[in-house]
Amino acid sequence: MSKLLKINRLVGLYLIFFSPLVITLLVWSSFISTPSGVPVPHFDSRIASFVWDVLGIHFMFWLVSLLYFFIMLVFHGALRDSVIAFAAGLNARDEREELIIGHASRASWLSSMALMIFLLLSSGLMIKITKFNGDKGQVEAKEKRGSVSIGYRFTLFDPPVKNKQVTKPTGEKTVFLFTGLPFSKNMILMFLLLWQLLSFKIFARKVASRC
Amino acid sequence: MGSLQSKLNIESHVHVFRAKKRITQQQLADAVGVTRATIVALEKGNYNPSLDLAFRIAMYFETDINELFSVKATDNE
Repeated sequence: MSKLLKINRLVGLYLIFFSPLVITLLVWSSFISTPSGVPVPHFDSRIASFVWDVLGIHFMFWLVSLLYFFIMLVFHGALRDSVIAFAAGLNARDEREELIIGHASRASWLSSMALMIFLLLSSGLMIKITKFNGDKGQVEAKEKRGSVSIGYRFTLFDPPVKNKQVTKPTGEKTVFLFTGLPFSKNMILMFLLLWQLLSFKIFARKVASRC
Repeated sequence: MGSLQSKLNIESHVHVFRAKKRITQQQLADAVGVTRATIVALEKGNYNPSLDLAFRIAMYFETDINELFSVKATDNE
């Protein structure tokens, strides 16, 4: 085992075994209310203040270690193989398990591709169904009862957030409006991660039951 | 026998040799370097082993590979 892999594994173990301290700090901080503009809470007890400081410093160190570990997961092949293979249950002990992993990986990859294509399409899709009320000035209202508009918007970058002023034409009522997926980027990425893990597990189990 | 392009149904006689030798599935698995689940799947006929594994099992039982595995029937029949 290389020295770098040993160090990275130690960092991984540190992250796992010291995570209760981080959770403790996060839970504790949720119960403390600090006045606005004051970042550090005030404690009457010196012990509580000391423990808070120690946990805070440890949290900073833990976060830096976590950042280092995630970067290493991307760039250090041996660590990636051992950690992610363990987390996903990709350990192939013999040729049959290699076969199962191969089939499950293929099925999981294809299902993830299908899901990502669906997400890409639905993220830019816009559907609007409106119904005309028949107010004055609405030419369409004389002949039509409503309208359906479908569009697609593809942008490489999110536009800066502005206070949008929506000018709504009078005399029409929006019955249905869909302007892309309502989920955040974090939510979509987390969903894709979980999909990868779960779909692999499900397909692996399915293949294993056949052979 | 049907066309050679159709899939062959390979019948395993590993369980017979194992019974003759009075060894467990785990013992056989350990001897040939696979998991017990692989031996179970192999004996049930759910899994066709690689040539490498088939020869290892044959060598373990000191027999010919044709004695361990035989072609039962094809899908076309």
